[in-house]
Amino acid sequence: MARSVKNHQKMVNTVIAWTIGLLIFFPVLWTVLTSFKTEGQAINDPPLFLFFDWTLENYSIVQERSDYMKFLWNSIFVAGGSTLLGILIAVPAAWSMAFVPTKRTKDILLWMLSTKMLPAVGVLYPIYIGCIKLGLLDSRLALVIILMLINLPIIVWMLYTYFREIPRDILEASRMDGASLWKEIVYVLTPMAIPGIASTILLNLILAWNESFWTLNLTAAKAGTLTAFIASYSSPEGLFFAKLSAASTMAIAPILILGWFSQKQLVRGLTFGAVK
Amino acid sequence: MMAPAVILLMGWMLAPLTTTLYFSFKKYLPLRGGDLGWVGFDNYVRFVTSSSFWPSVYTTLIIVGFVLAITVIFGVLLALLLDQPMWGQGIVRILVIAPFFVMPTVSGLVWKNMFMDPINGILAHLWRFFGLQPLEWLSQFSMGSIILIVSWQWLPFATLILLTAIQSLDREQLEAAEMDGANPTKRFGYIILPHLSRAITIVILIQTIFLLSIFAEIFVTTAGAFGTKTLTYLIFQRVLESQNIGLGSAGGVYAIILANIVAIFLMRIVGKSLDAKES
Amino acid sequence: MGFIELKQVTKNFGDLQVIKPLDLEIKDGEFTVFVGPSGCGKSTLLRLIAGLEDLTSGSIHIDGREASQDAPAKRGLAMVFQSYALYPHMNVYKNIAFPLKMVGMDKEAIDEKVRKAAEVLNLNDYLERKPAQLSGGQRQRVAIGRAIVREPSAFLFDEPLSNLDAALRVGMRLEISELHKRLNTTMIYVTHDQVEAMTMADRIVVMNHGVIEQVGTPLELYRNPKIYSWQALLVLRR
Repeated sequence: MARSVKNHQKMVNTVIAWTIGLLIFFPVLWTVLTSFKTEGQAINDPPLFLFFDWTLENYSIVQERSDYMKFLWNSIFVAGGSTLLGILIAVPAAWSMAFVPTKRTKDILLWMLSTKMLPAVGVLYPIYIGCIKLGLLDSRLALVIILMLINLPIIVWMLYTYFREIPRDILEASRMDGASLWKEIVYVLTPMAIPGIASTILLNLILAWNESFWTLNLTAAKAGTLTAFIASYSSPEGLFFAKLSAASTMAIAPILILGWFSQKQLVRGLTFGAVK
Repeated sequence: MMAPAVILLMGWMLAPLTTTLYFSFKKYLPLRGGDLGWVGFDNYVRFVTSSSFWPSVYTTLIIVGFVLAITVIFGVLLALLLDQPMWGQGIVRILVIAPFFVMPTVSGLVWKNMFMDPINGILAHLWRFFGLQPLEWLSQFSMGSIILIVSWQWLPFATLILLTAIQSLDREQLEAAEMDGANPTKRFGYIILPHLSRAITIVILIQTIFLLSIFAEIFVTTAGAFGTKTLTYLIFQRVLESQNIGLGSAGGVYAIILANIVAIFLMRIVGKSLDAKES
Repeated sequence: MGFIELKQVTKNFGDLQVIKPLDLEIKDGEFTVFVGPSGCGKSTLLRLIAGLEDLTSGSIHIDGREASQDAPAKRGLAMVFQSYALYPHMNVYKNIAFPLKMVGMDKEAIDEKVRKAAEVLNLNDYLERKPAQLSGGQRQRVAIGRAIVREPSAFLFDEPLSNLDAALRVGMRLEISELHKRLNTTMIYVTHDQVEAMTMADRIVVMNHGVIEQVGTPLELYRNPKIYSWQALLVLRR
């Protein structure tokens, strides 16, 4: 008797969950829909949901007028560059921490994580001035380096946990099979670590893409990323909802897709393993 | 092999920190006279006695506090809901997770214009539908608006973490409790909630650290007006807008100390879980 | 080939002495079984012989040569792990070929040896499959195959059958014993299962708390068991 009520309960759960889910998702959905409307219809009262004149004009306007492609490219370059750089530096570090741990390994790891908690405001001026002095203000290079530094603790952390999950006896078997350290890394460790490395890359691309504090404060016309580009809509002229929607949709679409694949990585990377 | 990472992070931490510390003890106004010499703790005193200080602390506490409360409470409820059997659970998860991946600037602007605009926003349409005067969200309920926007962004994070934690709960414990006669409410209170307490603590600590430094949402919506100036935003203004470096640096030091206090608690928990993994 | 001596070997983990000073001789071609309860040190002893752990003191000699400082690969030994430790991203062929590849053998020679081993172990139909697609018994055989191709001086087995179900275990026991008769190579086999020890061994080494309590042939142990648990076992069997 207690168990046979299942289907009915399931239906109730489904209805409630979908309602809440759609409510939460609504702003995103609305943005995407509005991007296909004309400006006039975008502000229509009552709001038009599906029955309006679908158009792609906003997308082309945004692209032409504000040099959208440049900002897009900057976002890609900065997110990709900082992630790649971070991986190159983090892999050896995580490797040595996972496989040749010393007594100090744990402390070093914790210290690295704590650098992530540094409020950016606290070092705003030195970084700002540093960039000016080095001629790096409004440069992609500065952003790549800084974003790499702020995400490095997470990259190291995630790689460390993935490396630790590789069963020790497979590595021992390779040693017994005559593999030198180098061969062990190349033929056994790396192939087994690839899913972990991919997950780490994924999460970091997302974090770097969405980063807003440094991108807003250190860049202007040349190196601005999509974050800054969107921010330029905060003081607009005339009707702009539809264009804002188009620009926004283009800015968030890639990340929403990537984000769907990276839920597990999110938990692992951002709770530092304290939740499993 | 660890060297490059360690060296870089150390440099990243020390160099800017010491610079900030250095400037905090000077009176430095690049736009109005440049380096005007050492002033000891003057900046520190001035920062906390300035008329904007306590309001900014108040604002920060309110915003962080409410966002924490909303995200944790609703996060737990949502996590419980998502753990139930239903159809299309995968898709609901995606719907709920989405806001976290939206760029802060996008979310700020979308909410400000497309939802909260008193003339053309959806909420305005909704209010009018019910015959009510639309609210001027950002000017009248500025803190509330910011809280709404930030909660929307962070609810997925809390939900995801708590859902992971719930799913790690051994089902058999719940079944045993059921056989022992506990109804769903009691099972929640005695078994699920204690199991979640650790995850909730982590969510609170991590979110606090990130929430203390929220920036973009305020930047694109109110620019600190209408009483939405958080401590972070105040420091930002001192440094980049009014260019009073000494004062801003002192403020920065306060922010660092505050964040570190929270960080210590968090690191202790992470440290313990690392030890647990060793064994 | 395959003559192993342990002289006054000890092993400490931190302050804990896990293996007390120990002497042991394993003759060439012998099937020796280390047996004892969990934590008695039998696996540790095996790993010391393999070179996966370092000695705290004492020495190990293989075929008359001191091997205490040698890396595992240099000792000429092959190990079959409890979890099989197969390379998940390589198929059966590549798994078995791996040690030969590490030595730098050329492709034709490798192919010949791999196919021979696959023949002996009945793995011909599975060469293209990956470990995840194999059953427990098949993975077992791949692990053994990987050890065989190296033509080692001795085989080391670390509780290889404990992950298999009872019926499979009996069959595999037989196969390993037959392998031993065929190859005539020294085999050192670790297990906690006394019945396994009695049925497979030429000589049994009974261990407890890091000490060797008795060494003898199954028959000797049967007639003269020095340990209570063995006495109990044998009493029941009488």
